[in-house]
Amino acid sequence: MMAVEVSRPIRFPQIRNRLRRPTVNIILLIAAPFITFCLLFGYPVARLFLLSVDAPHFTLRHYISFFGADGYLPVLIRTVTISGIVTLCCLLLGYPIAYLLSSVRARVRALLLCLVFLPYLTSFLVRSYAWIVLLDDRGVVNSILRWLGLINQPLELIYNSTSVYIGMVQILLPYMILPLFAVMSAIDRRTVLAGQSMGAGSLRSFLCIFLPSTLNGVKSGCLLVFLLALGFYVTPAMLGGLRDVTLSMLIQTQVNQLADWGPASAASMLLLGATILGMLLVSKKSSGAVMLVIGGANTQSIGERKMNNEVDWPASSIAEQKGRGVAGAWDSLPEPSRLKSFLRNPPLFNGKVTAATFTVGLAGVALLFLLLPTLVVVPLSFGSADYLQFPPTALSLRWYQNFFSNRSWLEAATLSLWIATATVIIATAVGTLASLALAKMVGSARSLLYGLFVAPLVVPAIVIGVALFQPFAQINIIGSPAAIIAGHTIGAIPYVVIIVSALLETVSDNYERAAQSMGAGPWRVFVKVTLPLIAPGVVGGAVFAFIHSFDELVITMFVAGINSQTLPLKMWEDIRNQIDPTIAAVSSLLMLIPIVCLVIFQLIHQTPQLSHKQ
Amino acid sequence: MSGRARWEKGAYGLGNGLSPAGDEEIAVELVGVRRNFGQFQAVRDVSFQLGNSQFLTLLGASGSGKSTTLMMIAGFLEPSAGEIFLAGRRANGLEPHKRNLGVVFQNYALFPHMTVFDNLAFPLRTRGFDRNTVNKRVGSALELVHLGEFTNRMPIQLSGGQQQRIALARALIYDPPVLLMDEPLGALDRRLRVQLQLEIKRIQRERRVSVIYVTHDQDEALTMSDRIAVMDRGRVVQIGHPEDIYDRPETEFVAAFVGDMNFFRIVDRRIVDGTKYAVTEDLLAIRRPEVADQENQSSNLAVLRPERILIGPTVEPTSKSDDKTQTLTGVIEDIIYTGESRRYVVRVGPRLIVVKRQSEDVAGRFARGDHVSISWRVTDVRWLP
Repeated sequence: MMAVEVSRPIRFPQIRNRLRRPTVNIILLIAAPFITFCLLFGYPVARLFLLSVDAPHFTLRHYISFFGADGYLPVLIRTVTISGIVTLCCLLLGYPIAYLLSSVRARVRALLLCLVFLPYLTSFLVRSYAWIVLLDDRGVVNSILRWLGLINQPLELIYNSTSVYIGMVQILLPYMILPLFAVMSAIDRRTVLAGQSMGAGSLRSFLCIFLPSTLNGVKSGCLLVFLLALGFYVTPAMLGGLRDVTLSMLIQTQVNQLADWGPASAASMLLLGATILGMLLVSKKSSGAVMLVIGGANTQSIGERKMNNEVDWPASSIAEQKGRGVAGAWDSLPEPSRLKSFLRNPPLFNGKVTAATFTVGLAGVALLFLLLPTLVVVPLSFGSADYLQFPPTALSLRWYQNFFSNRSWLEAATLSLWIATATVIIATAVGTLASLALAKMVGSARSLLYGLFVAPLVVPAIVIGVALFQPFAQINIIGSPAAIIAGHTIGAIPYVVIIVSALLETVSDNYERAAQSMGAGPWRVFVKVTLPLIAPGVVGGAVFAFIHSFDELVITMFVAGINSQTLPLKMWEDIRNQIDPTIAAVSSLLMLIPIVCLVIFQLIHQTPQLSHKQ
Repeated sequence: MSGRARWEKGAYGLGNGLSPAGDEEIAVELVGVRRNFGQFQAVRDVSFQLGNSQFLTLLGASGSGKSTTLMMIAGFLEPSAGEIFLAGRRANGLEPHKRNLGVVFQNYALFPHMTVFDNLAFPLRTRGFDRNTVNKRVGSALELVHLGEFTNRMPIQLSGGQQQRIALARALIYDPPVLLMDEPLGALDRRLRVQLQLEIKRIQRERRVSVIYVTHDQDEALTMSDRIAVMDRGRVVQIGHPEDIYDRPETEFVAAFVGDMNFFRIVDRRIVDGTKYAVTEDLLAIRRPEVADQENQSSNLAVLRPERILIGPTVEPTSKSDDKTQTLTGVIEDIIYTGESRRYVVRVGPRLIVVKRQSEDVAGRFARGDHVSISWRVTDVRWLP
């Protein structure tokens, strides 16, 4: 299953997943998702590929000119460099946070997890915008510095590479934390205690036992962040200067402003190639951990399940016999001493500031960095001045009034709501069908189809947007709600597939078998047993699909034309044109969405008997 | 009641006279059943019959193919080869929900989203029973397992033993002629297991249902079964009455798997002073029975249960004259006390022999280092191929 495992002993072939599976039913189940993907993903991408190789002449001239003297090699290098540095920063900040998350008591962990999920679920656009608010010439940071009398002229904090780095690290950090956390919480800490009992010092047992067992998580997290950074568009475009053009910005310019499809298609294919390469690089195991990011709501229970499953954990089963007493003592240790037992005081701190405090401190700062910048937008949205003012001299609701009385804002919001609703319905239905079919399949066919269905998650949105543009233009639906819904659906299905599949894995086949043995036919089994059991996953998938659609900007940019304006699209254009505090008000309103979602997840989580494997 | 009538007579037609009259006594029959998973042969050529109201246990270690066999009978898995008959009717290819079998799963598989009542009502509603019948039947099924007051609980609110009882009631509520149980007590502690073993036996006798029971617990198998099929690496290595399995194991595997055993590997045969001996690899001389049978002539393995050996103070070797017993002398090397019994590990020359006596057997109380004589009846030694 979910591959947070370190190693697995050889076993007899399992009967599980090998129950009777009528092939006809699988074909029926898989047909709709498969056709959807061929039409909205496979075909457009294939077409883009043909364009890039100059079909029907089949030359490499677009690639050659891309790498040529006047080409865009520097852009490629810059993009890769930025992605690499961002990945590294995320790892350095994310590791202590994940470590903290996996070390604290369950109650504290739930709270901290919420603090990670809140920004994770918050709109990219809102979070990038928050950095403008913070770093702008008249932004929060400059205002504070001026108020302190440290500067007279505003510092140039924004529209340069520094702001791109800061923004991207903050936005991609959750993608690093969650796989790391998933892997760390699955580690049986008694193995570390075992190491210490055998005489390894704290530092040594951390370096030799704990760290190596998290490498899978490190690998997944780094890869995920790197791939997302590679194709990232919103943040670099918003926070970067003229000299910080990345590959995705280049593609956007080529298509939207120059209508120059050759280089754009070649650049898209390079991005796609990098993504596919990355996906192949991660073993199946750690890609499971990548997927956990999305099913993050389930990470905790999966980790706990692994903990209890001694069979999968040879190391733990050794400790199992004598470890119970130790484990109890472990849980009753106060938190800092638990941390101390991993990192003994480095000489640097001279024994006064302990390593534990250092770790907690670093994790705390990283958490604040993750959380606070976005929240700054909220107080500013209540300002009364004509521009964003910090601190606001007077409070007012005028920007909220402005939002609710402005026709173009309301139209954009309504359109987004309709599109999100349609997307949720289609994506949830198609994704659930796909998951049900996948659960009945085994072997390479399953892996291949699973890979296909979740691919839009890691394939840069800009590539999908560019790919969809031409086919949609050809059948003349650019700008129609149908085009936007199609673009959103393709990106939303992976969330549903991942979450429902993860839940299906935890639902024992024996429930279905038991129902069958009692005489229930396939339809009755599905309606009375399977569906109620996977309902939390379906709801979770629907929530993610909604968030995705409500936040989707890049694909929309290509397929929405000039007449249809979704909420993110309107925000995007307004942000680029003026710093109108209405955007702060909209952003604050959008921040309510993840809070509502977390409440929904909490409700799902409170019916734990539904997701427990027998 | 039309649903019920349709069920009994309708498309499923189990035991409706289509089969030869003689087969009516046979509830389940397997003929040369095999199952491969890729290269792995999980079940190889398994055949057996289960008579009506009989209790058959498939006993084996994990990976022996016992659960796979059960899954094939239930219809969750198709055999790669061979045939399965239910009440004389070929069931290959028949879907699980048309087999009318009761199945109890290892971890109960109670539907976590339904109350106890709805769990029990599920098979009845599937069969289209009316509401009154459902209520009545669920009530009496709960009585059967003494859990009448738990109607509205969710499964998660029940203890393991209670969940197991509900699972049993659920599998029996529609009166299936055959009940399949896959390690049903595996997750319970020992005390509860013993209690439920008795309860399952009681219910099986009361309802006259045929049971195929899968377990790796030999005590459970010996206690409950009318017949035991011992499985090893996909094959049934011996099938028979519990006493046959325990007292007359036919292979080394069965001898080793069920109960404790002393093994003697035979390397030679001698006749000394008219008495027949077999010489073991550690150069002990084990007496062979005077009446030569085929088995002990060709056998290269002799086995002897520890509890068949008597232990006493050293006696003069003159008592050897008794031609029905064999006596050896040795030194007690270790004593293992298990409450109800004591196990003496006796060193005889280079060889350790285990002797098991009841704890209250005061005559046999010795200490480590004591010199003792051990003896057994010649006929208690089993000669295996």
